[in-house]
Amino acid sequence: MNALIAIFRKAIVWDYYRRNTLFLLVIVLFSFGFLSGQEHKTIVTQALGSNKLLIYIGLAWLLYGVKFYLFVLRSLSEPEFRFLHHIRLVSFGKRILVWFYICLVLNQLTFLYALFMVVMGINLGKLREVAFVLSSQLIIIFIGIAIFEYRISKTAETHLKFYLKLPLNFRFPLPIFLFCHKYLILKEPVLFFLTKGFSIFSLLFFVWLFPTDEYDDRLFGIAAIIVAVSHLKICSVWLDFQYNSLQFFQNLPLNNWIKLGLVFLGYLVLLIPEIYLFVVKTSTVLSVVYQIQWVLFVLSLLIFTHIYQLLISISEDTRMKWYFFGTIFFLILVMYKMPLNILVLILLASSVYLFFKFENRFELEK
Amino acid sequence: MLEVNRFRKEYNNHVVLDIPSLSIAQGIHWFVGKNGSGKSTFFKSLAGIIPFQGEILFDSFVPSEVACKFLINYSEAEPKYPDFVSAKDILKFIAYAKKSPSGQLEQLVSHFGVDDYWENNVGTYSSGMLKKVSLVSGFLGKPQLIILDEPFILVDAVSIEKLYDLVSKTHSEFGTSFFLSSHQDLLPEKLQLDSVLIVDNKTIIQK
Repeated sequence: MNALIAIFRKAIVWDYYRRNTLFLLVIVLFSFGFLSGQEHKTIVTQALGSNKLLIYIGLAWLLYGVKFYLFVLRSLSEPEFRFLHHIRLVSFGKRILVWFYICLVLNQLTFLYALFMVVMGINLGKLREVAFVLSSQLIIIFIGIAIFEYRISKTAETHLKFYLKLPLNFRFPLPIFLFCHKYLILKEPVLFFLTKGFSIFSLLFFVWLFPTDEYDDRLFGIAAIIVAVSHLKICSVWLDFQYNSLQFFQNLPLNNWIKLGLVFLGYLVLLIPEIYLFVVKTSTVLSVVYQIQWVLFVLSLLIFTHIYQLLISISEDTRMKWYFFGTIFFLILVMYKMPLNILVLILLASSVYLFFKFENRFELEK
Repeated sequence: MLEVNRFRKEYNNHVVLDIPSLSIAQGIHWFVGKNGSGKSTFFKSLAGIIPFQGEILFDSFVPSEVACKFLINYSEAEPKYPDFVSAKDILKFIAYAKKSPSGQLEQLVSHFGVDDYWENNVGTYSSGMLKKVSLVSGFLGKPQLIILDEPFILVDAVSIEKLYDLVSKTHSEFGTSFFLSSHQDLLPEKLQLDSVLIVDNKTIIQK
């Protein structure tokens, strides 16, 4: 049994945390670097006193659950991890224990926070809310167990892909800068809606936190970075889509400014939900100038992330390391009150430079 | 028309094509080489789709330049388009970008019979229908060189005849050059070829 757990831990758990280091670090940095212990207590107390807030928290946990369910499903479909399907030869009880372990360790981020809420809930005598918190965590774990058990009952080669089908007569002229959006909605709906869900939830959380006594509008600067980081996978899928399915695009006589304009338009459309919510929810507390700066900051972060992938002269690992340190660096700059418009200028200038230098040299790896 | 010097293309440190020097004059040229010999790699490099080492000059322009992309059109051997958009959306955009003369797109889609289905999503097309969309895209604008990668595969006999006619007509009326390729040794009898180039042993030589 130990050997079984060890191999799943090495193959899936370590890989999950290695690939999501940046995402988790940003979350942890915000949660425990920016917010103090007292503020966590205040948030939990408020949540335990409001059913609505408690349900939102449960949904956010479920969203995180979907993130790791998908990761495990993807891993189980990859050729190098197909040997894990031998778990089918193990008894049902042992399999459930392995899946329980996987779910627990992948979900530990929210699970530990739930335990903190449980302890506080017991101290406050909120037993009904404690039961809700515990049961929502158990449901997330049991959903994971059921999904993985179902997956393992199929062959290793089976690709469980979710895609949306629109009626054949559902047609309208589509400008090229919306091709990727349609691709994301139809071919990668889980990634798309999960990313948007997480991004919107995070943004709403920051809006809800504001204003506090200790923090000013830097809070929204950090929210912008979290929104951008949550779109990292979409940026990568976007580039793959463009260079795989739109090869003709590279033969078109479009100058770099037009191509950059298409990238800008594409991300602007992608961010419409976040921009709308931000503008509506902060219209009374932030100036229009700041709102525009914030929108440009998120856009420039995403455009930079997209264009940064064109760097072919460095390995994937190095690229991710630089991205990681770059994100931390930007978080620090925001916290030290660096004006957003200066950050926007730095990001856009770097994006333009990288685009002009590398766009013609880029090719997807064979 | 075309000058190639010290051209080299590698994938994962494995050389797939190495051309020390090559000059090609205007005309209709036939590239023959077995599968995987590097024909498409060379064509894609020439069309500015993929990067390469060395030098390619087409009328003193390099393939990555915008001006060069007006002059060179490329029709893929096995075209890939997103299956959820219509050929009309794709072709209209290509026609716009290539500054295609008014009415040219409509003529081309009608010539190949693409207008029968181009409003449907690409996902509903057969491989032959898709190939014809790619052939139409190759003729859009006012190119000086049209590269047709494996133009005679996937399409029916009637469409092949139409393609022969269009290639001959475009060449005689506008002086447009053509690079056509095939992995088979048979030469197209209905076309007046100016040269045959062999793609083999990771290089290209004129026969």
